[in-house]
Formats: sequence, C-alpha cells, structure tokens
Amino acid sequence: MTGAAAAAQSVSPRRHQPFSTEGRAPVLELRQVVKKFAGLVANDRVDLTVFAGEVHALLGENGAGKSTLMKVVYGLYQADSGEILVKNQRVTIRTPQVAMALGIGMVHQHFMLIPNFSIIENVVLGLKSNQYPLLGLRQAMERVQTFADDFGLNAPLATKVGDLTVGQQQKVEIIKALYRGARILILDEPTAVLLPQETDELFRLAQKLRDGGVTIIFISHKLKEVLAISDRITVMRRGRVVRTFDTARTTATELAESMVGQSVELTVAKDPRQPGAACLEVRNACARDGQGRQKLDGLHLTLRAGEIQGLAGVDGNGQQALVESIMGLRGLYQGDIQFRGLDITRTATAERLAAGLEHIPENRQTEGLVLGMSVADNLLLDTFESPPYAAHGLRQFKVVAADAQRVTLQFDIRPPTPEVEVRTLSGGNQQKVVVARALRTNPAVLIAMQPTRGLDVGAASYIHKQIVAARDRGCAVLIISSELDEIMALSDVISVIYEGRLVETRPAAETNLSRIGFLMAGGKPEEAPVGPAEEITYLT
Amino acid sequence: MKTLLSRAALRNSVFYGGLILALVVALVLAWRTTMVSSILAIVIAPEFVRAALIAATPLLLAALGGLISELSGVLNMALESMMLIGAFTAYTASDYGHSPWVGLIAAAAAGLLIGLLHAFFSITLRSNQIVSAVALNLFALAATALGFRVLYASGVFVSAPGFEPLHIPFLSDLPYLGIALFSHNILIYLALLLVPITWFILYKTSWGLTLRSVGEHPLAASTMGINVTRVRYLAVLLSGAVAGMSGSALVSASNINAFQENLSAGRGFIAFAAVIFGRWNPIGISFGAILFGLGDALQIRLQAYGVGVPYQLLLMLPYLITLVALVTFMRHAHGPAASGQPYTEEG
Repeated sequence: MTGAAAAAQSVSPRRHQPFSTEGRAPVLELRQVVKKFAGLVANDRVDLTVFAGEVHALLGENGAGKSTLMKVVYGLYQADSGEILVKNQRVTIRTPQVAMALGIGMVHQHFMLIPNFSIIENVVLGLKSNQYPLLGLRQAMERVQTFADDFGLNAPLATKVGDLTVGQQQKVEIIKALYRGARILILDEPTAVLLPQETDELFRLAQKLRDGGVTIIFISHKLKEVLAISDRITVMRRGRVVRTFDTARTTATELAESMVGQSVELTVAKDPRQPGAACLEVRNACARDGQGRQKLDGLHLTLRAGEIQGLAGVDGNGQQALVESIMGLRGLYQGDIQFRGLDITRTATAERLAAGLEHIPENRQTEGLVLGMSVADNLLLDTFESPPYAAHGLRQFKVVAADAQRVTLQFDIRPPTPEVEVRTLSGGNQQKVVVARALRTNPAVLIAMQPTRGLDVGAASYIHKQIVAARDRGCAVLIISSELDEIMALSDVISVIYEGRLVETRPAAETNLSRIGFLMAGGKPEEAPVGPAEEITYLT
Repeated sequence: MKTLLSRAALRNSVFYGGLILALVVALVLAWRTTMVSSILAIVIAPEFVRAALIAATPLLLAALGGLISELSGVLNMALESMMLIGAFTAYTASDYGHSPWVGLIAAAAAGLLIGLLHAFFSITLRSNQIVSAVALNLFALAATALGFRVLYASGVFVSAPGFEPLHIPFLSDLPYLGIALFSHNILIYLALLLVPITWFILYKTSWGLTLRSVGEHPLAASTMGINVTRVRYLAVLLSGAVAGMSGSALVSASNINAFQENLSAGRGFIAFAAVIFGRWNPIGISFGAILFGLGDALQIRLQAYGVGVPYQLLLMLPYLITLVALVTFMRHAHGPAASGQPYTEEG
C-alpha cells in the first residue's frame, strides 16, 4: 500500500454527533444563485443553507465554483440572479463593506495582507477609528492584542506582516475578520499553504471559534480535512451543488464519488520496482537566485534509474533553484552535476535536453508553454530545429503535423487537433502537452515540478499514471510538489529540502507525514518522530 | 511603528548626496584650480543657500505631488506636464488676475485637470501609465508654447505680479540666516510646511493608510471595502493640483516672474527622480529636492563667475546629479508593490 493510502485510512474523523438542525436558525441561505463569467457558468442555481454555529465545508475540485460562490457572498462578485438571505433577511451584498456590516468575514486562499504593513495596520485598514481621520493605532492595539493572545499569535503587533510565517499570517487574516465583528467566517482553502502541524493548530482554532458561536464555512478540496473539521459538507461539482452530507453519516469514498461524479481510486497503482544505477548526481551544489540570496547550500542529490524520488519542502527552500541548475538554467557557483558519469555542470540546456534530461516546469502557462503557439509547435519546442522536423534550415511541416497528431492521440490531449493554439485548451490538457513533450522521447531523467497543480482528479491521475509508466521504462524521476499527498502517493524515495539542503532521504515506506512535516519546518532528523504508521490525525 | 525615515536610509541619502556634490565641485576645481577660493566664496555665501532653496521649491512641490500619486499605485511621470502647464497658467492668471494668488489657484486647477486626464488614461482606460505620461508631457510642451505665442504675440517680456519676499520681524534681520532662510516668498514656506503635513497624513491618518494600501495591494484593499478606483482618482487629482502649484513656484523662482517656452526644462523629471531618491518618503524627498536645488544654484553661479567651463556643461549639472542619484538609488529602491499596475475589479 502506498503512503497516501495509509494516510487516508489512518486519519479517523472526529467522533461526530449527527448534525441536528433542530433549535438552530439558518444564518446564511443562498437560493438559486447564478454567476456567469463571459459565457462560463461558474455557479449554476446554487442552493445552500448554513446554520448558526456549525462548521460547514464546501467540498469540490478546483474550478467547481466554491470560491466564486463565496466571493458572491462576500460582495466581491455580484450574482447574476438568485437570492441571499442573512438571518432570514433578504440582502444585496454589493461590496465587501456590506458583507462585513452583515457580520461576514472571509480569509482568502491568497492572503489579502499587505506585506509592507505592520500587523496592526493590516487589521485596521479600511476602518474608521474613534479619532477619525487619525489612525488611533494605540486604542486599536489593546483590542487586537486580546485576539492575538487568544489565538496564540506571538508576534508584536508592530511586526511587518511580510516577516511572519504563513501560519501567523493566516491568524492575522482571521483576526482581521473577527475585529470587524464577523460571525460568519469563510475560510477559502486555508490549509493549502500550511504545514501539517500548522493545519492541526488551525483546526483547533476553528473549533474554538465555533464553540464561541462563530459559524465557519470551510472551502477545501481535501477530503480528510473536511471529514476532520466539519459538521456538514456540501459538495459542489461544475458550478452546481451535488448534495449536502452530514459528516457523521458519510464516508470518504462517498464524498469523492460525488466530487468527481464517478468512482475513483484514491491512490496511484504502482508496482514495486528494483531501482537501477545512479543516473543523475548533484554534488555539493551551491547557487544564488537573481537577488543574490543563497538558494542551494551544499545540496547532494542522487536520482536512480527506474525510481521516483519525491522532494517535499515548503516553497522557496531551493526547489526552483535545484530544478533550474539541473536543467542548466541557473549556474552553480560551487559543486557539480554528473549525468551517467559525465560532468554536465557547464553544459548548455539544449545539450542536456538532447542527452535525455527533461523537465516539467512549475508554471505551465509562463514557463511550460508558448500560449499563442499551436499544440504541435509547443510539443516540439525543444527539437523543432533538428531532423526530422527540420532539414536544411527549413521546417518539415508534414513530419511535424504527423508527429503531433500521433502524440496528441497517445497522450489523450483534447481536442485532438494539434493545429489549435495551446491557449484554447483547458488547464488539464495544457499540462498534458507539457508532459507529452517531456515524455515523448523516453527521457533518462524527468524533473517534474508541481506536475498536477490546479488539475482535476481525472487529469491528475492520468499524469500520475504517465509518470509511473516512465519510471517503469527506467526513467529517473524527481517529483517536486507542495501537495504532500502527491509525494506520498507517487514516490519510492522521499527527500525533504530545507534552506537549500536535503535534510533527509528515506524510502517512502519508512517515513510518514508527521516526520516530513517536522523536517519541512526545519526540525533536525534525529529529533523527528519515527515509526511508519504514526500519522497526524486531525483532532481525533 | 513608522519612523520618520529609517536611520540607514537617512545616513545613505546624506552620504551619497554629499558625495555627489563633493565630486562635482572637485571636478570643477580640478578644471581650474585657481578658482578654489572664488568658488568656495560662492558656496558659503548666504545668497547661494537662498538660491538653492528657491530652485528646490518647484522640485519639492512636484515631487510631493508625484509621491501622492505613486503611493496610490499610479506612476506619475506626467509631473513635467503638470509643472509646465501649471507655470503657464500661473503666469497668465496672475497677469490677468493681477495677483499671484489667482495664479497659484489657477495653476493648481490646471494641474488637477492634467491629473484628471492622467487618471482617466491610467485608471479608467488602464493604458500604460508611462505612455500616458509621455503623451501628456509632449502635449504640455506644445500647448503652452502655442498659448504663450497666442496670448503674448508681441514678444514683449511681460512681468506678471509675483509673490514678494516676506520680511519677518527679527528673523529676516539675522546675519547670514536672514538672507539664506528668512526672506523668502510665502510659497517656499508653504512648500516646506507641506512636507511634515504630508508625512503626518500618510503615516498617522486613515486616509494615508488607505492611500498606501491601494498602492501596495489593491485587491487586499478592496476586500477591506476600499474603493480602489476612487482612491486612485483622488490621489492622482491631488497629485496634479500639488504638482500644478510647482509651476507657480517655478514662475516666481525667476525674479522677473516671467514665462518662456519650456520653462520647466525637465524639472518634472528631476522631481520624479527625487521621489525615488527620497525612497517614497516625504522627508527623504525634501532632501532630494534640496540637493537638486543646490546643483541648480551652483550651476547658475558657476556660469556667472565664468569658470571657463563651457556653459552647456554647467547646464548639465542638475541632470547629471539626477542621473548619478538614480543609478545609485534605483538599485535597491522598492516603491509601492503595485506601482504602475492597472487594477481590475473582477478577475
């Protein structure tokens, strides 16, 4: 069984009481809410009832319309039709100000904090103090401090928000909402940016708030978190509400099925393989980024043929620099890179590609594709100059077209018409183009950074299968992802990167989420929790 | 919380400012070593400080205007046009209205109108803010030249009513300081007074926090119920009004209170540079304006003394200082995070 499967099963949901609506008043009701964007229906006749003092999860895939719906509630978007009722009163929420006045607060997925402002400035922004137009920070500080103490935000309120950890920033966001008198708190994908232990803390905080009478709407696409924290769960798919479940009376499988609309496997099918010889070695690599900050600091990494190595780490600990130096996009000022016994430290990117190093960049739209070019041309971005795609400096369009046709079919890229602009494809199909380009030539090494970011379950599992198939053909794979579940599910070996070094590399079966989370946060390996089955179990 | 100006930044600006001035003076000295004593005499004369302050005032006003706009996230390279149109308006309005105050108010109004155009292009139409500014600058140059020729076709140099130097009891009679600092016209004191006022508004009031938030992270501001478009419009309008007043200061900086074609001669761009030099802080900006003013005053005096350097080279001095200051400071200068980026409400 893979790590993710173990994880999914070992997390037992909080012992829930079945949710009873008796004696509870609905605080928020949506009736037949419709929101369209340029022809696309983001919310299609959505009905939703949220009761006072519950944690109500909105579960759905990326693009299911959860965030859009909540932005309508928060007044950032206007519904095209439908009604919103707050405490049984029909309301029109034109601006966030109206929402705040109605006691609705929202913590956005991408924090709406100003890094250059202090905590207190962020909290009072947009509010009138008693001494208006003076800021009156001193008065505000007293009140904000009580919140901060309550939530364990242990940083002086004059600290710049940019200097806080992500977990602390999230607390500032929550304080911001509550300081404005929020009684309904919308949390949009709050755990996406958190370490496992920070997630646990957030869930405790959420429970505390709920016990204090705050209603929480929790947006997520992560099943186990939703099961752990919520009282009721509303599943959305393609802009519509599928159903609302009582958390105590549902299962992960039932939820997953209603999310994607078909039976799905929660894990990646993968046979054990005996890894081959070391294929790529990075030794003592040191590199700086464009601003001169140290990004790689004596990093050692060995990729073996026929093995998937997962690299876990908080974004910004050198992952980007590592990928770039392996691909020859960034120079090392110390250390070297060996590929099949050859030193390629100073080899040009084109030659590395030709030698069989391939790469799925983090951002398909800015780094992976030329959006204004056709699918066919994008598939050949690395080889269009060489035969058989070009001869005597002229491109051979017939060969290009035939080849592109074959690859689009092979990788199930839709629509299967390679002459269309890549821009017109859906995100999942765009990513398939990037993956197809990397795997088309049976590479010896594949560096995949966030290979399934923002994709639906269908496209993600397809890409996972392709990566596993590449491994089975003997490719050495490095997966870099901020989704720990993805790393756990795919990897044969898992490394953790912290401040430009690998702190540990272990077989996937001999590590677990809590250990990885501990190391990601900068903990020492000798102090990390051990034992394969031990998991972070949210609020059990 | 917010200090007036971080100590390191202050040390830097004083250090580099002094360095640049010293360098320039040293260059000229090297050219004519025999001039040492006479140039020293120029620099320590109270009239020199006086002239520097007079030259700094239009820069200071324009730079404060630029600051307000840029903190809201709208680059204001159109300062040049605001200053030039402000100057032309100040001149004609004080001439026709028989009062420099009429000129000042008219200049503010004219600057406000240019600000309105810049705001419309940059905020409503979301066009490139630099392109909008370049267009406005070219327009201002041509429009003021045309207006001047139409209204003053005779070519007779008409002197408009200007702000008279004040005589402050006791202070104006002090030796040295009386001439250097305490016998200026009212506009110069108003401009200097505007520095702490701007600082106070920016860092101690809700208005300032709102303004800065819109320039740093407009989306975050709008989730806190702030109307980004409205704040930016107000900021650019105010910026235009203040920068327009710099035109009035420019006209009264010449003792004869006269206008000529292209009177601003790139001072708007120097003001733009002063904003960066001062690291988007009103106190720092006033240092920048005074530094450039010193350069301007030095240049004029060196010309008058006939140091034997071609006067065209001396004319370059303030711009040279700008160039060196920008190259030195742009490297690590961080303006408002969302500066120059148009903002859209949805998606």
